[in-house]
Amino acid sequence: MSQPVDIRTACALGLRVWAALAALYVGLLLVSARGSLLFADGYDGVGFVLAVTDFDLSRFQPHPPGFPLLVLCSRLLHAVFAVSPSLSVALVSALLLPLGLGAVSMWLAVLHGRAAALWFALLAGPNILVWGLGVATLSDGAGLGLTLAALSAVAGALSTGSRRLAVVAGVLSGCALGVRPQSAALLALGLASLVVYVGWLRRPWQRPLVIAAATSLFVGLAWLPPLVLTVGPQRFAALCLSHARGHFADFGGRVLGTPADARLASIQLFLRTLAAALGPVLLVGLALCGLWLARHRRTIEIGTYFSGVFFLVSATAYLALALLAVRVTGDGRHLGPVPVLVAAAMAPVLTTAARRRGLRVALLTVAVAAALLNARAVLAFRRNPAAGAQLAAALPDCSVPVYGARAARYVDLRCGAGTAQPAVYLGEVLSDLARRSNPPREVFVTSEVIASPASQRRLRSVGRFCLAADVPSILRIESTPRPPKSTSLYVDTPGCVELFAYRVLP
Amino acid sequence: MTHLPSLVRVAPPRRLFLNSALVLAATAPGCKSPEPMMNPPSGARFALRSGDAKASVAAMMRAAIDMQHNGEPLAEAMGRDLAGYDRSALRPDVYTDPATQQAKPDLVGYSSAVESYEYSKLMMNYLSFESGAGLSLMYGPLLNPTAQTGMAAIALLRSRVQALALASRAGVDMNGPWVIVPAPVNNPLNLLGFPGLWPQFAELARFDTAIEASGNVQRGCSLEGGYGASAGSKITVGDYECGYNSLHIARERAELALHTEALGNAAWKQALWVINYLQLAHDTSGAQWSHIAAAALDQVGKVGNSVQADNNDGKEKGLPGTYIGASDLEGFQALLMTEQIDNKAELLLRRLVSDGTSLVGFADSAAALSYDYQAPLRFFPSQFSVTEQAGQGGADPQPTAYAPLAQESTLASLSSLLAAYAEAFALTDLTNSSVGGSSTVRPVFDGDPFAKDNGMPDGEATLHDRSLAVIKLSLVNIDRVHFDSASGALCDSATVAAGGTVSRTRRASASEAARVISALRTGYRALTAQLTLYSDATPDTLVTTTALDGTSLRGVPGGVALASRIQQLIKAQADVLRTRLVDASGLATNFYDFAQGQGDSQPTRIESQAAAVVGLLDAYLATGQSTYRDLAILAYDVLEKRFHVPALATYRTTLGVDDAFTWTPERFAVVQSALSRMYVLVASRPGGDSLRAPLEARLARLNKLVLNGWDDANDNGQVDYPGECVKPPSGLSSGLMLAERALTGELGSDQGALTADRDRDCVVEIDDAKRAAVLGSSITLAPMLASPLPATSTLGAAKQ
Repeated sequence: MSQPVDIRTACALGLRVWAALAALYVGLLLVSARGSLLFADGYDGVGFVLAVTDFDLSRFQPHPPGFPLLVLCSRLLHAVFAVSPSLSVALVSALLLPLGLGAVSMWLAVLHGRAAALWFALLAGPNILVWGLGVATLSDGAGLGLTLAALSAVAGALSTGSRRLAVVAGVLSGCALGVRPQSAALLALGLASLVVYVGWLRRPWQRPLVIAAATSLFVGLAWLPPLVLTVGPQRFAALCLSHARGHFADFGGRVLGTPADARLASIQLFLRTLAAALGPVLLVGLALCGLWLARHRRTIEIGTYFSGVFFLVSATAYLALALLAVRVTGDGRHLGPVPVLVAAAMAPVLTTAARRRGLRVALLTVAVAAALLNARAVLAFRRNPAAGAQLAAALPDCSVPVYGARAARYVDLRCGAGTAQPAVYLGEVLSDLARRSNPPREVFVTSEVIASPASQRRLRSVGRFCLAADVPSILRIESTPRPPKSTSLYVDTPGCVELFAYRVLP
Repeated sequence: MTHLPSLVRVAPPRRLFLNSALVLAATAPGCKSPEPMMNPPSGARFALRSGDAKASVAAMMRAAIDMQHNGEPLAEAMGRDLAGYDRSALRPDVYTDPATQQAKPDLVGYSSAVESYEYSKLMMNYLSFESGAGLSLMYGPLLNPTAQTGMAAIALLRSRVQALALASRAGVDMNGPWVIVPAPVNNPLNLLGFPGLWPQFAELARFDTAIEASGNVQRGCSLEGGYGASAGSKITVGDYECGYNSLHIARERAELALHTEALGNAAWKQALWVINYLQLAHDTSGAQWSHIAAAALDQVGKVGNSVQADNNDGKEKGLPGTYIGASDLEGFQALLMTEQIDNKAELLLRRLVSDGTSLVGFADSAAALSYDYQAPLRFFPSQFSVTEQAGQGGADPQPTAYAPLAQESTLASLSSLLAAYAEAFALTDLTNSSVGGSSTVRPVFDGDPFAKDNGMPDGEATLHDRSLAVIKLSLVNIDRVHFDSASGALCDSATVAAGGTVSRTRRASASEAARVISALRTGYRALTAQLTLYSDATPDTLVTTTALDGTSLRGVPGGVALASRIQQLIKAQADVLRTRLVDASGLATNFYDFAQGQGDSQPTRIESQAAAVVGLLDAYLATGQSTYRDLAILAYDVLEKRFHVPALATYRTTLGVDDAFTWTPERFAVVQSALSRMYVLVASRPGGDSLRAPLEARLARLNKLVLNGWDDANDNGQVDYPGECVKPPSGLSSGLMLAERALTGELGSDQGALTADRDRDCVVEIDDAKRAAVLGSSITLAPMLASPLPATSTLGAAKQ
């Protein structure tokens, strides 16, 4: 096992990890975009993308309570670099998720040495689920990155007593709250575990913690009063409550939603989802590692792990939280942090295992191969040229995005002024559905016209068509004041071909 | 259609006629008179103060009947060739003379031939097939006599829809063209073969018109033939035209009530259009033909038939394969509406007949046909509540019980039922050579798809005998329940107590008098095989026998034949109009109370004045007596002098009320009918030339302002869009017509761009209006005047 490094060296290492992973994610985004527009991920992704140009929580309802810092960051990227709205939202994830991974690397370097930090970066960064979040038009990746960075900064502040680091931690925490308010739960758990850890080490912790908490609240909630005042308290509360109710009422049951789901098929589905999240290569790596340790009767120094208790506590707590999230939302992307935490826990073990040259080469080979396979999978997931060509043929006046067909996709189309092509396309797809026997078991259509008097832009139609017969949902057509939600971004919905939103440019 | 038969001798009252012409010529703004404008030359002169966007089915369908009569037939009477209109035109109101190919603005022609006519069809289609605003046909008492529920009920309706689709060739195979054959399985979007089709057999009395129509469009939905003839080929239309799933009303919130008048008016309108659709047959290429050889009639509509239709001129023949209706879609709709009418007749006769205490019904149509003046009193109450249970397995809500809301009979209800089933009977009457006896209609009632009748009123299980039964019950009760022998008038309403004791209101209104005269004329013409599609505006021929003469007719007053009794009733009510409801100057009163011996003390409303015109002209057509027409012209003069407001180029709706003009569907329709009848029966006659332009201007203005909400403030004959569209409050449209669709030019897109009001006529597309394409219950227009209008005398006639 390599020797721990000083904090300055660790910081430099963390920054390099950040830069490398950010380059990887941004590069993938640019490759998959190929000069066209990226699709948005799920209903929430559409909301964020559309919010880049029209942030009106009351009218367009971009995922209440609005995630204003995420939208602000995306809007800045959109304005400064003239990239598309969907790419700008994805770039926020691509830049902020590696920030958290870099921070974790930094602490692993401090605790276990440079090798552990690099093993972590190699395992966590290219993991298929982490990578997916890093290129998604969602808040999950950005929120996770900022949260991990904030926790790292808090740990640093507590362990060193640095007020400056406490302020940084507070700012990062506040940003995490603004980018993804759900981070509050993770931050609270992380802070509690840090307090236990620092108290156990008999270090002074009260003052940095107060500073960090106060700064966090100030930064994190700065957006709330103006947002509430703009929308109106009653409307704001109604939006948030209806969204929360939607999670429970509409999304439950996909994985382990109700007691009735506690049956073998549901459990298998859950395990498949978990396996997909962790990545089969990673699991194989773990198994090989365990076999090697058992064969050579190598014991792991328990003391090595004392310094990583907060990771384990956080990992355990977050695993429970993630399971709860999956349970109530049926959405596998909430498992995103799990590979990060598992990789952090694995890193010292791999560092120990890799002392032997042959094994080190083998493990490195496996890790690089896994990264390459994951890259291929992520790219395939995000691109389907055949389907894209089909859509492009149907919508010649529109900018057709790279197009995903493996799971439910929202496609953010940009069409010429006033074009009716998407409406024609949607109408004909729906007409086709109505003519079929045993049609898709899940159809959502909304044709709400949302007109902005100021811009005259219109979000005309959002539809979702899952052409699989085995999606256990109710067939219905809905006309709702907002687009229907995606129920199963990473859960099993084979055959869902498209899901698109578009707006007509003024 | 305006030729007078030799039986009727008409002497034009030239002096009155010229007076009318002078008044009209002096006041008509539509003919570019120098009438002073009291407002700036652009922007609407009216504000839409309030309105009711709920649909009142009785009023809406009553208006739809008149709007059809005052649509294409009126345009033809005005000398237009219907081929000169393009309903899909970007710029409406243009007439291109097919002979010269010269285009010119034509507000009255377009608003009649396209808008009034097609709006009326939009309303009928919405009620009949698209809305769900009624009792689902899957529980129709003929279609589902054992009250099957759930999937069994769906299967019964699906089977019938499929059969009707095959007979009309609307359904051929899995590609339609309209109905998927066989119907998809396990597809809640398409239970019957046509997506979202929801046929009714009894319409709810009122419903909220709010819908969330799909905002999409599609090219695969071809509106050829009757729908898209003007386009000549496939056109891109709103996808709701070919799948009605997004057109359903919020059925769970609808009030479960039936009004007999609404049932009657809906069936009347449907039957009118069925006659229209069945005037022609079509072949496999869609070509239309008017004649089929007698020997081949039993094969028409059969899958794979090789019948070749023709036009009975010895020239061209159609392709092998002849199917029912003028086109595949129109044939299918005609057959489905016939099914609805038939099931409604069964409902009326078996479930909705009261003895004054409770609903007793008749055992069958034979029992109903034996009803006469001496039988125990049985009648149709005017309103019912309905109890439903939730549908199972994807089926529609199922009616389980009916209860009368009052033991009351209304003249309006009986008038509507009489006329409705008179039209339906004509379809089945082989002795009516123009309708039931025509070779394009006979294949419909030859046993497949509808039962064949022996032509006798003997109670067979056929539409022929059910229609006769409803006619007889309505006709006898108009006389027995509503005729007040002391005054010689048909009273508006009566209550029936246990034992059949009748208490009449002894009040006759101008509106109801006109309606019952029209209905009695319709019944008379049907029962005497004179009724044709638009024979309402032609004189009746006196005959002595009717199709009901073979049934029991005990107790007919005076012991006269039924034909004579109908003539007597028409004459009696016409005389009530002439002597009690209209004074010598032509001014009408709203109603006459025979108990009080006086007319209404309230100011005359425009529907009363217009009804006087219509009723008197109908009386003239029925009796041939020109005194009725002379008085009608005087009544029309009053409409012009006292109701018309030159400064606003419109009518006040109540004498003396100039700050708000409230229009309802009935009010609009009767005024439109008064103008239309004046045109056809007065202005079109020799010497009436000077009346034509003013009447055309009035009609155009009425249609455009009230229906569309377009106020041509600068009188340039073009919509200065959107400034001249009357500004509606939230939730309303500019005019009484709440929205429109492809039939009147709202195709949903233009040149690849989505549109909300494609033809810029102030009536927007249904998915933008979020309303069905039907008439609302009312709108109130408030004039924005710089100075007050001249005062008018408010009181109507009150004859003693």
